[in-house]
Amino acid sequence: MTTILGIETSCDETAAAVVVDGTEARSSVVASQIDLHRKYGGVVPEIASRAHIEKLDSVVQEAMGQAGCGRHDIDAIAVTSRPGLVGSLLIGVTGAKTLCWAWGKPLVAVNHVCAHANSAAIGMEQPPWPAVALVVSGGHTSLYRVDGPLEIESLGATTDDAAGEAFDKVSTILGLGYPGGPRIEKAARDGNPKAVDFPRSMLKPGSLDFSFSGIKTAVLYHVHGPGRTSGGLDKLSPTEVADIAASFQQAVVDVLVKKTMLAVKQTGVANVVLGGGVAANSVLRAQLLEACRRRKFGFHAAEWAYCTDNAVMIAALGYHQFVAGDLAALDLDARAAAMK
Amino acid sequence: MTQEKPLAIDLALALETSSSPPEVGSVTLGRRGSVLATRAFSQPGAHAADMFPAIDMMCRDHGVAPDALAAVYVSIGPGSFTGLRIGITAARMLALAVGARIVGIPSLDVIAQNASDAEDPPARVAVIRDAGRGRVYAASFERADGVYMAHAQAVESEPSAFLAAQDRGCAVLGDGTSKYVDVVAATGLAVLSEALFAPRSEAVFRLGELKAVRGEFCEPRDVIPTYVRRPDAEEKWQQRQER
Repeated sequence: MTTILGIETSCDETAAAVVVDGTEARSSVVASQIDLHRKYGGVVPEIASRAHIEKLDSVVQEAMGQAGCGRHDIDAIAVTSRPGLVGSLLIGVTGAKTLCWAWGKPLVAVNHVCAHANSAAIGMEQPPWPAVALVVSGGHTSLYRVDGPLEIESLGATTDDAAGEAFDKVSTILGLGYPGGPRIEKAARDGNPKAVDFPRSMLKPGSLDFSFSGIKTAVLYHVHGPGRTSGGLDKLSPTEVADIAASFQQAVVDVLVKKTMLAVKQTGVANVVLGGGVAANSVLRAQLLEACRRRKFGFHAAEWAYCTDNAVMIAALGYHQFVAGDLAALDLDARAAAMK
Repeated sequence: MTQEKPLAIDLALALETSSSPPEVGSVTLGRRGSVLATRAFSQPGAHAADMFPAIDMMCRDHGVAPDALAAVYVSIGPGSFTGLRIGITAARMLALAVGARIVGIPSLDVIAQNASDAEDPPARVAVIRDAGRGRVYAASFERADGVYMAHAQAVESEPSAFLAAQDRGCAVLGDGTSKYVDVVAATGLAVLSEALFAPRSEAVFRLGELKAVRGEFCEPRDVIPTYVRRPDAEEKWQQRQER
């Protein structure tokens, strides 16, 4: 039995978890900062860093307490070291290094997006590999080919805004508040997804990259008028707001589904997995499932609890890295960029 | 802060990571009031990467196991936000990991102690530390029993406004002195050697030891950086609300 303590602080959640053998979550504690960032309409890096330092020790203590384990039960400590907000990552990395040094434990540096790509397999007896993984969140929108927990190849990524970031910005434009994902989804339930034909940016033929900055601007001008950035929202009826929310959501989902199917076609694999905070969007889940069903592909979405940032997925991937001997040294640093 | 009966602190670790490049961070290991070793970080500003290898080497060299650490003294600011968070995170996690007690030391107090190394230590000093945007973090100190004691908590100020309020006999130190050479020169105040401007972990250790033996420890949850300044986003949001 191998027990990993996972630590995650890459953005606005301070999280710790204890996971056994990469699949069995003994505990998962997440201290969310949503309330702190709500009035700004998005995550403020400095505020996130300030909150992490105040929470990390108690979150780790609670995770170990819930799991009923002490320092001697832990085999290794896995921490998100990239990608993310550097100031936030540094709190988790420093905390993990401190525990490793003090307790004489191995340190494992985990890539946050790869952990999301692997998250659909947590708890599964038969992992769905090989698969195309769509990881879509407030900070990332990426496609991977996953042949195993440690065999993850990047196929494409956003060239500007992440999809979740676009949801947050459009939610602010529509006066719906933060976080944008659930607010847009809720408003869209009463709207017509075909009411407004927002652009679906596919980039060049065959590309598996994404771009969501154009649709954000399209919504802005649709609300306020061409070239205008204010003054239009008060003139919209609740029905028009719902129609815009539904049309925006549909445009984003169309791009995500189409690119994912293109990735499956290019790689020749037969499974699709979905992870990341936007994976909690029920329209995306339903339409990706339907697209896979039509083509007879397998589809596996991460459990709801593992869609948003969490430390179970860090400990789960960290387990595989630990077993493979992929350890980090005490000079580990945090990095904003996604890949080594 | 908790007050306890006087203690003898066996092994303690002092962390000074409040500085920004080109200044370096440093760590000190001490036993019963005496410095055993100090290590400065090799790469200026690379606190996150360099601090633990430095601590590890220093403790190994002296045969000190992490479990043996009774206390951690940590520089709490004002200074580099990121640097402070690295030192304070380490201190709080050491409290969790091995039960070490924490003493937080204001970073301008740490810099002020450097004045004791001046050829003729002044009775009063003013520390000004660059805070960006034309401002400094500042505090004034008076020497008593070989220790520079602060008159008040650190403030954020324009350098000229803070220095104008200082006694004519005080000497100035800190990296704000280099940044605002003309402003300081215009005050006519004495300036200490630039070699004395950066905070050092030995001073964190000395100040920490003074408090620790009096039992003046902090609860880990109370040890947070002294930012002095609010986040930019919060200030801008406040300004928008006031319009």
